[in-house]
Amino acid sequence: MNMTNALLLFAACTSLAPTAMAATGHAHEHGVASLNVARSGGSLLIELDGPLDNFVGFEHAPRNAEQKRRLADALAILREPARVVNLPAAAACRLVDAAVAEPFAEKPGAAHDAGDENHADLEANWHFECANAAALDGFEVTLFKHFPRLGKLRVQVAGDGGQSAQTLRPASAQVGF
Amino acid sequence: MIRLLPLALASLWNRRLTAGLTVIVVALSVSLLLGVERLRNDARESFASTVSRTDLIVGARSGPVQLLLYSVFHIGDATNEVSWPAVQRIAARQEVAWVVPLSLGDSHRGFRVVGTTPDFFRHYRYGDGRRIGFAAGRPFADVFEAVVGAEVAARLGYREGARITLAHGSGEHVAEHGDKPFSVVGVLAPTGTPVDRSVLVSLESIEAIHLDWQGGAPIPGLKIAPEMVRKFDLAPKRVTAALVGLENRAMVFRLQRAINEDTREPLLAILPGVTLDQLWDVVGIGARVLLAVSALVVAVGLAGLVAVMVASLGERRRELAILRALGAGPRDVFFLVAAESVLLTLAGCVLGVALVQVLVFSMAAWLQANYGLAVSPGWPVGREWMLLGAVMLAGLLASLVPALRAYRQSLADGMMVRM
Repeated sequence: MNMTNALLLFAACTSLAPTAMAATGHAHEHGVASLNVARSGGSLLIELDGPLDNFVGFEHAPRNAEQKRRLADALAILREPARVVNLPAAAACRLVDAAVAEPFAEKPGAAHDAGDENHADLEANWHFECANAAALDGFEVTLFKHFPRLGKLRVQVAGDGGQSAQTLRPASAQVGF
Repeated sequence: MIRLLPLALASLWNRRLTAGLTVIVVALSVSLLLGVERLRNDARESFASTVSRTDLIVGARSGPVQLLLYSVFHIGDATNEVSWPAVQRIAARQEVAWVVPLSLGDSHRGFRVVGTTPDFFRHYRYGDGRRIGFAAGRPFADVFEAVVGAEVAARLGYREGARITLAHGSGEHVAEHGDKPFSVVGVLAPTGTPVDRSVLVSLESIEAIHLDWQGGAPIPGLKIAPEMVRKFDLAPKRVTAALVGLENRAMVFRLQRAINEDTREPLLAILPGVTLDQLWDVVGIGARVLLAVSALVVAVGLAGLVAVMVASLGERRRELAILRALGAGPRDVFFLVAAESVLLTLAGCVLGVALVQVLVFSMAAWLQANYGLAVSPGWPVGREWMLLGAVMLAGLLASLVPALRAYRQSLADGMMVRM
């Protein structure tokens, strides 16, 4: 057993618990959200998933006018991709599909769908098609500007050039391919 | 001032034994620093280049790191197995382009046996998308045919046509599948990945050698001759993991979610590149600690250099006084002593770089053979230059200590009538 192997095993032991959770379901950590970026040629899929607290400051169904307004504002921002990501203009990307899962929306047949009373997540995804894929060498995530409670984004990138894990913070919010 | 350089050299030459020893101390510490940095980089690169163009690795639910390390790098603890129908279900999905199953567990004289399909040779990529090449022979096509990795062939002296037997499990005391020998039909070209240290056979062969086994041991009294195995159903029942490639990479997270949420069997799909990055985030801590320790060793080396230089000043009172008498100012003395220290550091760095080259060159084959680490000799790159620069800067700062002392000493000596 050499040094690297020993280190890898050490890493395997220490990193098993948190990553196992991330793989099978949900890690719920306030201040942190996950962003999946998949890219194939000019197709770009971006998925956001994180505790609702990061975006509105509470995790229950809105109880007053102020909370209703904050939730509506947050959803409005996420529905506008230009306020979420800043794609290189030269890539000529256009949004083909966007979906923002509205938390606490009354589903037909389900009286109350808040799931866990104490935890709620916000999920959204965007699908872009870029005419000039060669110019798409990365992009800036502008979420931090709109959601000051969001401190960290764990990014998983999968593309034709390979896969990577990246961590974004308000000061360094650039995703690289 | 530049005219003092030959004088500094001559003065060092005059004290060549202590100067030489000091250079060796600095060189050893520098080579340790550079060696750790080189190993850190090359290890990361050789791991990163092992899986390429594989979008997902699917295994039984465990940890992503465990699954990656066991299925691809053959290190760490074994993961549970995946049922064959689950693999077929994934292969049947329309977004999936190819699936390469891997079945681990047997060994051959310390090398891993990997059960897979001939698709492995078509789809497995390493480095920047390179395919596996054959040095000789062809892929396995039938039961009891094996393809050996470059290193297996080199170390055990195998060629096409060699007869080998596989062992159950891996370790010192393993039961041999002695009644069912394999013939080597292909030898792979070196890849610098764990494939070099693998014996590849078909999934049907793995089934065949375990037909008369149960619970990890031969069933007493039951012997199925090799020529009889074809009468049995050799379709695989379980595999260890599967490499998955997609038609459209943009679908990778959706497929990952679909597999992870499969209710029929607890599966885990990981993105190998992402998991490797997460792993290196943790390994990186250990590597940085090693680097910090080697930086401390360099500091110790430079402290030794300062001690030698300061100690020599006492012996050199006469030399420096003569210089003063010949018209050298205290600043010239300062520069002379500082230049000597910097020259020693520089010589240490140069010798250190050379030492690393020699070490890497002489150990590359051994590291590759034993640990699969591809380290390459060569000029310092990127961060190694930065480290060397940092050492030189530290040497420059350290040189101020003896130089300032010599400066003050020469001032005082100039005013005192002594000798």
